[in-house]
Amino acid sequence: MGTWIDAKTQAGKPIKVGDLEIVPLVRHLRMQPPDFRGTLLWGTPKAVIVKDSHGTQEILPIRDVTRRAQMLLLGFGFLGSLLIWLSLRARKN
Amino acid sequence: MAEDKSLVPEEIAVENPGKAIDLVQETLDNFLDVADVNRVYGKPVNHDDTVIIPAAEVVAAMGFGAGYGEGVPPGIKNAGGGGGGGGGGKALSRPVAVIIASPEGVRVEPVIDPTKVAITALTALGFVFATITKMKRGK
Repeated sequence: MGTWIDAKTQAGKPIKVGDLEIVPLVRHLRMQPPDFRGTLLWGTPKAVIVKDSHGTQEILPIRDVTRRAQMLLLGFGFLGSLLIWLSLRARKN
Repeated sequence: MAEDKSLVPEEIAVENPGKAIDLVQETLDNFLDVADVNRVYGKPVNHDDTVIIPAAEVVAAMGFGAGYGEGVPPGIKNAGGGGGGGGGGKALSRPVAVIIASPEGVRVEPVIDPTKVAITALTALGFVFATITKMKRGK
C-alpha cells in the first residue's frame, strides 16, 4: 500500500487568456490509513504560474486569508487566556 | 426501466469478496484523482476581455467496508452465511480566491468569509471569558 500520507503539488491544465498562459498549481494531500478502506483528500490552491509570449513567467501565490485570520484569532484567544490565567494566579498567590 | 448496474460484477462479488473491495477501492481512487485539480480551480468565466477563475479548497472523504461470514459447520441443517457492506462519503468546498486575468495583467484577489472569521473571533473571546470566569470562581 506504501505510505498512508501522500503530499504533492500538481499542475492543472493551462488556461490561455490572450497572449498569457495561466498554469494553476494545487497542493494535494491524500490520507489513507493502512487497512482502512477509505480515503481523505484535501486539495488547496497554491499558486498560479503566468507565462507570457516572451517566455517570461511569474508565480502568483494564493493566500487563504480567511484561514490565516482564523488561526490568528485562535492564537490570540489561547495566548490571551494563558496570560490572564498566569496574571490572576500570580495575584492570587 | 433503467438497468441496475453495480460497481462490482456479480461473479467477482460472489467468488472473491476481497477482490470486489479492491475493485471498489480502485474505482473510488480514480474518482478522487479526477475530482482533484478540476474541483480546486473552477471553470473560467469570461466577462468582456476579462477572465475570472475561481479557486477553492476542497476536502473529500469516503470510506466503506464489507464483511462476510459463514454460519454453522457443514452437516447441520439451516446452516447459512451472509455478508454485507456499506460506505459513505462527503465533499466540502470553500472559496479561497479568484484569479482575474485582464489586459492589464493577472492578479489574485482573496475571498474573505466574514461569517467564519466572526465565529472564530467569538470562540476566541469565549476562551478568554471562560478563563476569567473560572479563575474568579476559584477565589
